[in-house]
Parts: sequence; C-alpha cells; structure tokens
Amino acid sequence: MLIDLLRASRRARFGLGLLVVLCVVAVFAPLVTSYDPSDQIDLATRQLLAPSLTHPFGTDFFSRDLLTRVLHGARISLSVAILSVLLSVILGTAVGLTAGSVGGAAGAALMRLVDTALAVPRLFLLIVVLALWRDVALFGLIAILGLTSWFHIARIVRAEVLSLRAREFVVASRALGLTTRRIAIRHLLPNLAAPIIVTATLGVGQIVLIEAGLSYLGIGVSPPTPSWGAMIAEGQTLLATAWWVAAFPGLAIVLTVVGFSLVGDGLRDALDPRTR
Amino acid sequence: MARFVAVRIAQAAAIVFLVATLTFVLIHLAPGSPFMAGGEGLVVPPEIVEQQERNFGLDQPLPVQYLRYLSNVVRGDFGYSFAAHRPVREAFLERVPNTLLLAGAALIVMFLVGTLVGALQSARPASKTDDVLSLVTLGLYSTPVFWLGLMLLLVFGESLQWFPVGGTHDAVVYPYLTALGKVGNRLHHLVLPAVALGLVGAAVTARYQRAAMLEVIRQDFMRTAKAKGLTERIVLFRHALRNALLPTVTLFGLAFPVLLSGAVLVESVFAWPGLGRLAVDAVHQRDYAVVTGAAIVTAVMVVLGSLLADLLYRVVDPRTREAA
Repeated sequence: MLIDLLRASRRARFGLGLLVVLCVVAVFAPLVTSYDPSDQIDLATRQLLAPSLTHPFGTDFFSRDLLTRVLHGARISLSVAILSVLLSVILGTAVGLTAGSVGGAAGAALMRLVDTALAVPRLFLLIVVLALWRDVALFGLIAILGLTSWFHIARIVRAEVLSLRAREFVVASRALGLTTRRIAIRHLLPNLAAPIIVTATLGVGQIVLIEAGLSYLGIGVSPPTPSWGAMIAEGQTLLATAWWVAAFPGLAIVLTVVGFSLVGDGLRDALDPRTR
Repeated sequence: MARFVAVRIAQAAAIVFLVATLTFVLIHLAPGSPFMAGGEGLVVPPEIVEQQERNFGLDQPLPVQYLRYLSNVVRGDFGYSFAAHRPVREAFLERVPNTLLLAGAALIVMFLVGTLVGALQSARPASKTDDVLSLVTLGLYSTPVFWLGLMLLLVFGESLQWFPVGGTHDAVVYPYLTALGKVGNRLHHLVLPAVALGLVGAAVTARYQRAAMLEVIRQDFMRTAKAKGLTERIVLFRHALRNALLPTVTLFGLAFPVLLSGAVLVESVFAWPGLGRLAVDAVHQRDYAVVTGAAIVTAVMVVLGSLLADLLYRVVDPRTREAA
C-alpha cells in the first residue's frame, strides 16, 4: 500500500514527506529545541521578541519560545485528531455497515438520524455539546470530537455497502445461506478498507482544523497546554505589535492539513484504480 | 413539481423536528441541574433549587417537558437569556441578519472566485497554470478560516489600512453619512470577513468546477463548436462553463452548513455581531438557552438552504424535472 502510494504521484510523496517530518519533530520535540514549552524564560527582556537565530519563530507575550510551543502543539493537535478519527471511524463503520446490511426500513431510519445530525453545522453541534459538558479534559475533547464526526463516514460506508451488496460474491454468499452478520463482517468489511482508509486520512486533516477552531474560540484545548488554535487566539490581540505569535501556529496547521490531504488523495488514487 | 416541493418541505420539517429533539436529549443527558451550577464552593439551598425547578417546569415528567419544549420551539420561543436579560428570540432577530449578510456575501465570493479559477484551470489541464492554481486551492482548502481572516486583517487592515479592522460599520461617523455613504461604509466593513470566509469555500468550488469542465470539454458539441470556428474563449465560457455550472449548483446546498460553521470563527476575528459570536459568548457565560436555540436556528437555515438548492437545481436543469 505504501509503495503504491509512493509510486502514485509526486504530490503524494510530498504529502507523505510533510507528515513524516511533522511526526518526527512532534515525537522528538524536546530534542529539537532546548526550551520548555511553558517556560517563561525572562519576562523582562525576552517578551515578544521578533524571529531571530536564538528564537526562530520569536517569543510570545510570556517570553516563551514560540518554535518550542509550535512543536509541542503538534503533539497535542496530532494525537487529538488521530485518536478522535479512530473513534469516529469505528462508530461510522459500525453504523454504516449495520444500516447497509440490514437494509429496509430499519436501515433507512438509521440514516435519517444520521441526516439529522448532519443538518446541524458541525461547529454549532460541538458548541452545544461543549457548552453542556463544560471544562472537559483532553480525553473528553477527543471523545466529543469522535462522537460528533462519524456521521459522514456512516453515509460513505453505507453507500459502499449498498453497491457491494449487488455484486455477485455477496449474492452468492447469501445464496449459500450465510447470515447477514457473517456476510457483513467476513465479506463486506474487508472490501470497505480502501474507502475507510481514505476517508480517515482526509478526516484527520479536518479534525485538526476543527480542534484549532474550537481552541481558538476558547472551548477546545485549554491553556497552558500548547495548542495551535489557542496560540493564534493569543496572537490575535497582539497582531499589530507581534505578527509572529499568530502567524507561525497557523502555518503549522496549513502544512499539517495539506500533508493529510495530499496523502489522502494519493491513497485514493493508489487504492482505487478506477479513478486513475 | 408541486408534489416534489411538498415532499421536500415535509422532509425539511421532519429534520428540523428531529434536530429539536436531539437538542432536548442532549440538554437532559448533560450532567447537573441548571440551578446547581453556581460558582466554586457555592451551595444552593435545596428548597430554592426545588422552587426554581417548579418555576421552570422541570419537576414535570419528561414527556410533558418535551412537548412543552417542542411547542415553544415551533412558536419561535427559545426561552430567556440570563446573561442579556431578555428573550433569546430578541437577540436572535438582531444577530441572524448579520450572519446571513456575511454568509451571503461569502457565498458570492466563493462562487465567483471558485468557478473562475476552475474554468481557468480546465482551459489548459496539466499546464503550469493548472498546477500552480491547484496547489493554491489545496493550500486554501487546508487553511483555518479564522487564521486566514487574521492574516488578511494583518496585511490589509493593520499594515496597508485599506479596510477597517472589525465591526459592521463605523459607529463614529455612521450617523452623519448619506444613505449611499451608509451602504458604502457597511460594504467596506464587509469585504475582509466575506473574502476570508468565501476563499476557503472557493477552493472546493474550484476543484468541483475544474472536474465538471473537463467532463464537458470531452463531449461532442464542444468539438462541433470548435469546428464551427468559434474562438476558444467563446467555446470555453459560452458552451463549456454554462453546462459545467450544473454540478456546481449542488454545492450551494452543501456549502451553506460549512459557511455557517466558518462564520462562527470569522465573526470572532472581525468582531462581527452575528449568531455565531452570540453562541460562543453564551458558552462562556453559561447561557444555555442561547446556545441550544442557536443550534436549532442554524439547522433551520441549513435545511432551508438545501431545499432552495434542490429547487434551484430543478429550475436550471430541465432533465431532473422529467425524471421525477
């Protein structure tokens, strides 16, 4: 699969490169920079320093090294996004597979519920949930993001299941008298791997954007945990005096999401020969 | 046609009903009672909690509460905003037009820029222009909308000072302006937030438009048009673009929820007094009636938007009318 992806296109290779670099610097963040993300180095003399050799991204209002905070922010953003996508993929696949295999009125009813959830703009749904369950810890945030982003995965999986159900091998296994459950798990699920992997990869990028948005609004990852969105919010008030505080975390988000989009598109081309 | 419209309206109403039910369920799943909140270490005497619950009908059985809640929502009564000391509906009536103005302007930016970029790309597929533009659209698609807004603000608001840095109009000079000046002042304030919100969507539109154009360009009537000796520009814009606009129209319905979500963030960047900012402020003030009401109102807007898109599609594409 990885080799197919690398062979697929220059863009996919570039995306994969971005993600590898990102993961490496996130994992080895303490080795890359010599500062601590929450260390207020020297409030008197190091506050809001412009980018320089000692502080490549400058320093923030509390004299913290911005590069260090952006790197540690990568750890938070990536782990939140990957874990919540994992949760949403499990839920979405389960619901979509059930709705698709059972079919009939029950399946249609299940999809109506999914449509309802999709009618509320995602950010508003998250705002409602985060308003009611206040001050959630990091794992709470991951759970909430995962629980609110499986709806479109369920749609995609169900559509895929419906098209697979018309294929001969499924018809044959039904003729052999296999139970619906066995067909779903042993015959349909393996064939769903490709679209699910593509959707999940693109989904990580989207969740990075959503988590950044929530943290920017002050209802996501709460300070002093370094989060890209919250760092941009801090930079907003300093925009006229210290542009770098808002600029660099935003660039980090763009590069991350571009990476996941390129790899996702590349995977789609590599796994599904029809789109070539 | 009449039957189709009736069915779609019924479906839209069903979705709004389910959304209201969903918010009711969420409210009642949430931990704690609204009267227990208080601050840290603040203990509310149980008899007061009991009395307040009676006042707000929270001592009634759940089905009764549910029916009351639904009938309130249907009448457009979203309860009372404790933070602003006024009915939620009043606050909404003030804020919703601002959000719709912002989202509408962003929609125009999105379609104008998106179709233009997509058409340009499809004129010379796999050329330098195409490659550069698709890289730009990918970048835009991956950019957090609030950060894009801040960067536009930094460059065009703070540094170049071409545009104001926030609000819907200039409170100081506004009362002294002529009617035309007032419109101009509001438009001037609208540019940056609308561009920020619209550009992210434009990236998606361009991707759609490019694919749709390439699909159309392969068809026979395009070859005929070229064979007739029409110039490339006419073939591209009169023949191809017109036909390729069809799939893009379906994006209209899909774009609305995304724009409304984005508006929440953009409103915070540009101090735009819209529904999204109201909801976010309400979260911080624990003003729950505003938060849940805002979710229902945006769901209604989304449902109406997709209804409109469906109807529009049937108007622009006669083939879909026969099929139904």
